Amino acid sequence: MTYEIKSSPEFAMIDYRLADGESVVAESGAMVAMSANVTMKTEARGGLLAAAKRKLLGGESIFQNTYTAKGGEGQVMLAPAAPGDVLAFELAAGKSLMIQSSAYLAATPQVTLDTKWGGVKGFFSGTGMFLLKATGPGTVFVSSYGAIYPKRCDGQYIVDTDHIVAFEESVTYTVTKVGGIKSLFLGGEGLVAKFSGTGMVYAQTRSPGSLAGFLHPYRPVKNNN
Amino acid sequence: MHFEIEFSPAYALAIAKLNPGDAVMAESGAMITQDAHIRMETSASAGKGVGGFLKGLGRSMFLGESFFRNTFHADSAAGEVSFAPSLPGDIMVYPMQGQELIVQQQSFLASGTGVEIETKWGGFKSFFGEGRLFWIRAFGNGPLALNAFGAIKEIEVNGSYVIDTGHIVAFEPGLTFSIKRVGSWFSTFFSSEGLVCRFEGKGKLYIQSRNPAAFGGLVGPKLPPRNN
Amino acid sequence: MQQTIEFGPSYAMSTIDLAPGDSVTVEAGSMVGMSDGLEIKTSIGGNKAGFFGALLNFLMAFIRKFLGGESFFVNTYTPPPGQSGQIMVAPSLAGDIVHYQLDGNRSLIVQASSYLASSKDVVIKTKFGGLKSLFSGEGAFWLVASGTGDLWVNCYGAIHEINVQGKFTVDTGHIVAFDDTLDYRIKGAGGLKATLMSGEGIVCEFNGNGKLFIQSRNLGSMISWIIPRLPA
Repeated sequence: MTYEIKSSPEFAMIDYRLADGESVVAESGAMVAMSANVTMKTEARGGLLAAAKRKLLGGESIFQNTYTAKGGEGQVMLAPAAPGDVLAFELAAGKSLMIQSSAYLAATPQVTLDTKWGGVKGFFSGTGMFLLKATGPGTVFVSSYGAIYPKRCDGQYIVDTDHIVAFEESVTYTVTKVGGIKSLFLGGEGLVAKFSGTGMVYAQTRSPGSLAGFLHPYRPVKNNN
Repeated sequence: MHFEIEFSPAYALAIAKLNPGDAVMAESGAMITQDAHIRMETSASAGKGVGGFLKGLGRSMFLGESFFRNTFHADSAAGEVSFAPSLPGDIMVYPMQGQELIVQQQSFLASGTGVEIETKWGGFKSFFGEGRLFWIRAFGNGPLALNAFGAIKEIEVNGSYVIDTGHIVAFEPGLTFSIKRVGSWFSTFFSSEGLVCRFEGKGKLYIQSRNPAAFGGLVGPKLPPRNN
Repeated sequence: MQQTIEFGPSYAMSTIDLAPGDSVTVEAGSMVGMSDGLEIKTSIGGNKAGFFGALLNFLMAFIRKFLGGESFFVNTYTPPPGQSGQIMVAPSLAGDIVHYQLDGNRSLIVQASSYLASSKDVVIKTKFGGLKSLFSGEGAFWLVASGTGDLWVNCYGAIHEINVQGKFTVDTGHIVAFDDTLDYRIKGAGGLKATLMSGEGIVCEFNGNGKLFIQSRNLGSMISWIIPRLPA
């Protein structure tokens, strides 16, 4: 398999070439186009229970699509819903990447996904997002809203929770409010994650919450009769 | 303190690089990442020289009153803080060197502490149609980071030029301007152009290649209804 | 007529320079800036003449507005007689613009919300996309652009050109435009289960030889993505 990430970082899209018999698994709704001999199979990945667990935590589709080339080479183009970038991570066997749930786009079939609860640590409370742990071997594709700003954490680093895309397993985090109570309400910086340790942290340069806040006044008003 | 802009123009990020003792001021809610030792302070002050507008609704509810904004301090060690606006688009750094700049309120992102912002600039009131457009006057010294919805284009006006009001980011006060309707009554109502601004004179004008109100007006009705 | 496109693929904007006697028709609401003194005429999109033609235009445009979400008014900009002029145009959504030269031999079928602007001698007709395309999320109508001249097409996301040779399937929400030499069939993504649960919904299977323009984002998907994050 070969892939090319086109139109990065503006509206990145994966142009995926599959050899005969090869597959790639993608989130529901990610398919842009596919060539003649690619077939699509829909299933609840990881079994119905794992999928239901993901669905219950809110927002994440329980179905994934597996695209397989049959009878020759195939091409499938995949894109996320949000405007922004796509980054590919090559994971060695047993190596993991922690991914914010809505940032997960696609992966090669051997990558396993485990849902970690985000609710306990208050990471994404109220947003319906949680953390996914992707473990190799294989390639996992992660998408962002905005561009991806990679930072090496060497000690401590703070990232607004709305802007977290992914981070290496080697960093740990705590969720805090920046600046104390007064700042939470007046300063506008809500919850932040304080990362500790050594490893890469990937932030996105736009926040879905801010976009939602911008669009809110333009919504139709509910009719209460 | 200086700004470095990355990921321009798609989803620009303004990275403030601070020397020990430096500080940077920013719109409430704009901080994305920061070194752990940077100290954030929320301050409220009335009247002149205040920035910081309440985010969330995309509307300023307290124009002319007290505002809150965040000041980030690098006390004993150098450090960095990165800022981004709510909408996708570019960021430009305008060096303030004692002159003035009129800025559309939503476009203010961050600045050095020597830049002052006046919110009660009466020269340009808001008007119906384009949502509410408020204008602020920047003066003083230091870098001023402005964000845009879309890409930023600089236009050197020499004579006159007409701009759709939703596309204006900032302009030099040497330009005179007037709001006018486009075409006939029929055109104004149906053309969706609404009101435009006619600039006259000599000076620089900064525009954004997307219009927030048009984007909100296109996508908003497709969203589920809200409660109030 | 000269034109340039800047800031693609993220927030493309086209600057069109009009020579004396030129005029350009643009989708209502897309004017960013213009030289002073241009004459503006607002009308309903569509090129049928006569009373019944105008009525049909109005009806089609009205239907398009409700099913396709596309503004049904266009503005024609003309510089004052003997003078030149300039207009900058951009769509409402982030994304790209492509300038297409029509040579009178082939037509281009364009997704309704992708129409941005066209020159005088380009004819735009509305085409019903078939019942299935009603569910595509992009609206039931496509536009057919023919004639000679300039056509500006915008998209949500970056534009990608594909030379179709044989069969190629595209999610309908990602179609921007295609040559009229291509056959197409709108269908569900797979079996019933797949159509309902895959999230892919409706796809368009192209067949033949011709150019196809796709966009790397889809407004319907973006809306589904932002909805869970909206306050009550």
